[in-house]
Amino acid sequence: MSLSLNEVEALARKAVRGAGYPWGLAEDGARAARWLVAHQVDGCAHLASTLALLDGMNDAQRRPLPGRAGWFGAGHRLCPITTGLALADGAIAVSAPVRLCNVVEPALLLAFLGLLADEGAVEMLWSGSRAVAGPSGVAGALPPVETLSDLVVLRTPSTPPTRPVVTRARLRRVDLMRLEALAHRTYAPATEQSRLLGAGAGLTDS
Amino acid sequence: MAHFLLEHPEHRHTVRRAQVFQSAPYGEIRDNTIAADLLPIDMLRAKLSFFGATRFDPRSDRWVRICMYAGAPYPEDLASDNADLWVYDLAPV
Repeated sequence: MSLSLNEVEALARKAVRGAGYPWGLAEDGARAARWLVAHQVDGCAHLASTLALLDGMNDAQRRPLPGRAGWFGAGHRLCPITTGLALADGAIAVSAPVRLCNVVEPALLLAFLGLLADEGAVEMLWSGSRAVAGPSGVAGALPPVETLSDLVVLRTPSTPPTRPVVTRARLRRVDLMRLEALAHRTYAPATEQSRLLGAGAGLTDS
Repeated sequence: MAHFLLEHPEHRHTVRRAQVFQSAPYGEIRDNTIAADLLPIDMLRAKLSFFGATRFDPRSDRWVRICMYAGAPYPEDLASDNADLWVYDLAPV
């Protein structure tokens, strides 16, 4: 299935909202998915997986909390959207390396590290592997799907990666269906009354 | 603000609107969009005009018939000296 980046972002925004996030987070989660897709990472798959794994959590459970071993999720797992935004906003300072525990779908986090990188680069380290994010893309290994128990984020003097940008997304059917099912939760069902009151010409065209 | 939004993610959309407004003063409809006397068709007409619609022909307060691309040059004829003006096509004589 091929979608434009605009279609990806619109679908993703509704899906994140449908999964129970506030609209402001839905907008940023959707931008993250779009950014990854544009930079040749399957952001739709990572977003759909994130939302499936964290479905039913509320704002308090998705909140990152500081702990002795690093940041952890109030609901035991760290949401890549709320954590990524806390990093990009500066609520979690990256002046020193930041340790994150039990991050769901860390690949999604890379989009926010790209924002955080500004003109430089930010790297993500986990069990001997490394990914680098910059304002123009990501490079290195992609974090494995689902959950990483321990990873470190830090600024790096490395040259920020640049990858050619693509303008269309190729989605797996299963991811499209998962995102559409969540997006569907944001729709109000049509009623006979709403159809009668709705815009449009109805039966006559004059 | 970052720490506030970590505590109150429900306000993120509102904060962004306030921030965007600083650099894009016409980024939003300046009207009470939930007023009892607001007609969505008014915003629809504004939006259609951005798309280049002309010859608005209101059919009711719910829908409007429009014309697009009347008199538009073909791509090969589009040039910098006519790009902004072709939409104002000449009145028939």
